[in-house]
Amino acid sequence: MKPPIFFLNDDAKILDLMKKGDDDALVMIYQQNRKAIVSLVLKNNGSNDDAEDVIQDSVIILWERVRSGRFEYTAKLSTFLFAIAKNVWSRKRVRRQRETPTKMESDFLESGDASQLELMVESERSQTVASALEKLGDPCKTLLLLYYWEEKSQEDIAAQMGFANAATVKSKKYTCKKMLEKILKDSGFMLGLI
Amino acid sequence: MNDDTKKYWTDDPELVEKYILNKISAEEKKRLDAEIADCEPCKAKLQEELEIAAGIRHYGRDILKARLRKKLRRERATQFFNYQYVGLAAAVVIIAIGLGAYQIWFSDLVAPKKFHQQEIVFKQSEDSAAISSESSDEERKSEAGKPEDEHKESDQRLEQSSSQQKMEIAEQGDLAQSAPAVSSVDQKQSLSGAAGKSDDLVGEGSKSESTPSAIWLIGQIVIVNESVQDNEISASKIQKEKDTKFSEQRRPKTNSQSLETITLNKKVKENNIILQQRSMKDLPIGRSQQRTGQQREIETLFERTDKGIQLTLYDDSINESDMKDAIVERVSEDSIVVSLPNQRIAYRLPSGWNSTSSGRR
Repeated sequence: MKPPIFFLNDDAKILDLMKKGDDDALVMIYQQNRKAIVSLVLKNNGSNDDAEDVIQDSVIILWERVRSGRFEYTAKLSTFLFAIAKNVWSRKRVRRQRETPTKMESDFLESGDASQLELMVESERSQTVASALEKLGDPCKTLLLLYYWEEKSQEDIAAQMGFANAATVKSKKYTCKKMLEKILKDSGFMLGLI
Repeated sequence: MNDDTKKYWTDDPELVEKYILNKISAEEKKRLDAEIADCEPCKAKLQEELEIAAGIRHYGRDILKARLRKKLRRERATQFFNYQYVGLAAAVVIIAIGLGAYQIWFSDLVAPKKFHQQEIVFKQSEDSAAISSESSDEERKSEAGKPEDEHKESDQRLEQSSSQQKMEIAEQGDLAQSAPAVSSVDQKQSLSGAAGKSDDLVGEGSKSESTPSAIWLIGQIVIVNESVQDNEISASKIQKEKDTKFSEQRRPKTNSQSLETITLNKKVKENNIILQQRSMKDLPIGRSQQRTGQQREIETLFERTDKGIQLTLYDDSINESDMKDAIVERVSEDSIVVSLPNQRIAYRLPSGWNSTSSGRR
């Protein structure tokens, strides 16, 4: 994932900061691309608030990609971010038109290459789960974030969180997930109800 | 194949996690989707896993978004303050330049304003009222019938009273520093750079705006033995006024040309100038004490009278014929020159007195 030598300016710096987990990278890429993305959203019937949401979501998706190791440097970061912003804004517009975007239907897959998970993240139901996660507290919260959000391997999580090995992480992850499900059930939330 | 005993891939937690985290290929995903197409519990289980993962991801994004917004707010605040500092610095520079320019370009205009802003508190004794132009004329008329000795005494009293006038000059600004008080009478006000000096203010009123009806000025003899240019000013009429009775009674007999009153008719209204000459002996005590003894200065009393402005030159060297040939020139807005056959005397007039125009005897 090494950037080519001719991109060794701001892009390389931003990617380096992102890999280190330094959120200054977010501000840098936000400021570099804000104008273009705001213009994109405004030209496509969006408001300034929509544009602000889109650029923030796009920057965060880029962050996730880089942190999870799923980012491939094939174009300038600005080009990549612009493409993400287009998809994000497109999905937002679809969701506005259809109020139940969580159904696993084929039309989910029509929005570019977004995965089902990606599509569900923006739903209201996932917001309820997020609220339950807040109640869960550490270390379960951090463990689940590292696994499901940052997509770290169990070995990496074990090293980062000081667990004995990957098996311990697996066991701990299972326990934490069950606790989360219980919190959701106690709050009246029915998982898998579609 | 919809019975409960059949095993589906959704029973494998690792495979489910790979599926929801999109860590399988597109073909693999298509195959797995086909396998659970007729298994509703499998779909429900997969949906459950997806919702948990999506919720966790949503939470992660919320945290990161909050951090980003916080950073952006801080960044904008920093930028705002930076702009403020730049703006403040620019304002300070502009003000400094403006003040500098003001000082350079308008300092000359400000100076006379300060002069006129003097607050003059003038306490005048009853006797000294005779010095004012209005009362002096009346007094002269009333005194015309008095014997010579009485007039002499009257003159002396007049001079003494004028010197004893109690003036309290509350000065403002720079003038207070530049003109230290010599005595209550001797408040000198110097007009810097002027050809003549404005000396004691003698007059009525206590308000700064009012112009005194009489003023002492020191004329500077600027040119000696220079012929007067006749073409400078055309005088239409010169009226000589010889108030012999008055002059004989007021002047000591030893001074033959002591009172030579010449009225000059001017072009502009209210511009009558009466030139008269008196002996140095007649100079009030207060004035004579101030004299520096310089040969190039002539003590002169400027008075407003009903007939115009009366200039009384206290100098023994000026004779009657000189007075007859005298020319009064206005050389600038605030300067006049009295040209005599053998000398020129310049005066710088303070505000209120500069309506004096030119005239010729």
